[in-house]
Amino acid sequence: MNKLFRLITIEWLKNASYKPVIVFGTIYLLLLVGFGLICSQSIPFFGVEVDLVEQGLLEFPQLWNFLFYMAGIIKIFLGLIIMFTVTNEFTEKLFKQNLIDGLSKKEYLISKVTTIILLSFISTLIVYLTGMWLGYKYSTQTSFETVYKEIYFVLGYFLKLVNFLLLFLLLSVLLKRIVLVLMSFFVLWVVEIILRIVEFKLFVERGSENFQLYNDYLPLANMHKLVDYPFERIKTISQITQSNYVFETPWSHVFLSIGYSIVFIYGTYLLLLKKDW
Amino acid sequence: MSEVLLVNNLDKQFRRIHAVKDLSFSVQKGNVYGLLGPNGSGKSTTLGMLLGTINPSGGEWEWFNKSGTTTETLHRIGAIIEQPNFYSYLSAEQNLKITAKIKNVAFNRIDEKLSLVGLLERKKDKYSSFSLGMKQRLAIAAAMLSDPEVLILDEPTNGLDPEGIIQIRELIVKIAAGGTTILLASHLLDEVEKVCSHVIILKEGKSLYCGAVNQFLSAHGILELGSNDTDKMISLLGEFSAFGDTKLNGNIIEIELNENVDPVDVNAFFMKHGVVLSHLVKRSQKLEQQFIDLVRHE
Repeated sequence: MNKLFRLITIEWLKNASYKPVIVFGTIYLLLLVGFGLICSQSIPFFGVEVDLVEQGLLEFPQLWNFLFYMAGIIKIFLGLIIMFTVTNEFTEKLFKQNLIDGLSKKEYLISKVTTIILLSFISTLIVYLTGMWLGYKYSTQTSFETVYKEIYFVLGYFLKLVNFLLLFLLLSVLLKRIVLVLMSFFVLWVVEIILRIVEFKLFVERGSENFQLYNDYLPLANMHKLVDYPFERIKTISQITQSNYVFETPWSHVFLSIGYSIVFIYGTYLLLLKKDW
Repeated sequence: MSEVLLVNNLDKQFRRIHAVKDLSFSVQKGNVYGLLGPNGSGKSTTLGMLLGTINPSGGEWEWFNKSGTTTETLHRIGAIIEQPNFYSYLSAEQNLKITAKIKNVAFNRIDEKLSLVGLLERKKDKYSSFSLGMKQRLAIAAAMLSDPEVLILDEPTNGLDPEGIIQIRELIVKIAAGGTTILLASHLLDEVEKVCSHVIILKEGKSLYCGAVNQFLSAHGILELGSNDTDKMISLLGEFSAFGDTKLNGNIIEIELNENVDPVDVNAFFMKHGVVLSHLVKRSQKLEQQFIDLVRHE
């Protein structure tokens, strides 16, 4: 525990007054908290005024799905923090200096992973607290059972952030330049979309009715699936589609996200170990 | 004298370049070593391997009689590689705090080391506002933070102005006087000659010489001979085993010596064979000439 505290202190000393961290961190916090406050008002959604309270989005338990989904949209700001701090250490040969000063490659990795877990934890906690506040204010049902029925989303969101930030860590160590990291992330995103379209077309051609997308298990789609779209649960939409939404915990995606996280961490470790710095 | 560093058959093959070839040398406690070699001779690669940033292709080494490089070892070593590397957006003090945490050293040593390198007044200033000379001195302060037993410096005066160079050299001499073993990589012969007691000469990744500087200088020297009978003198040169390459310079012959020779013996030898010397000078070579010759011969 003492060792871990030393690594966290090192991370704090390195990054606390780094401008990108301050800027992106502030924007992120403002958006995260600000969004919670706006939720109680009606918001324009594709040109239509949507009253979230009226649409039942602030009702327990679907409130968790909605809030954690919306919070997930701005996770890129946390990604930018990881990207800026890590790439800077590689382009400025600071990682090399860390090694020479006697920080082991393993310790460096642990310090980064710990930072990622802490950031994800803080974000999850803020959204959770916002949810509790909004829920107890607007939800018609606040029995213990209803409030905690879909508490899975706390876990799902946390894993989603950790998974996402670990991917950025891996790309940052691999490519060392912000532009390249962003480009590779974009390429991965596009490739997943193309694969999705291809798979969808194949299914349509085959004419099978009940299909499951295997592409849902690709890294980015899997993250998405951890906290899926909440929009089917909006009253108006469910009336139009006549669907009767039943929530099921996506365990396969949970386990896969843990698997991906391990792969990202191990991949980063191998890069640190095998390359010459 | 105890060994601080022992390197055996160290080897590094990059994709295209064989940077270090079967390199062996040792570093004794308390001496100032120069790792001397032209650019691209494998100095930085060697130091990188010994400090754990570059993976070796072969060979082994011992720091303080322990195999390889561990984090504990690194805490007993202070090192500066090429240019100083610091967080540009942090102050001198904040940067040293990071180093102190990494090296498990208390923060109260920071001021002491900053004053050693003359940067105490600038400790709150951002690193990015420092001149190159100040950056280099801060790097030395960081390296000295844990009071290391060995200080490794890789081209510490590279790119500095004359004043900066003098400051750094004085600092090195000061640190060496405190008993710290120093390993200084440089391509500047003058620098090595001024501050080092021992020298390891590298060329294309191979060690050509490892030992004391003064031995290196006196082991080889030059003898200048002139006489009344130049032709006869030349014909007699082969009988002296200590004589190496010769060069005729007007009526004067310059002879490189392979081992130490007493000029008295040389004079007596030629007298015996009926040659009277009109010119007999023994001079030691400058390190520069010595180095150039050594590198060219191999």
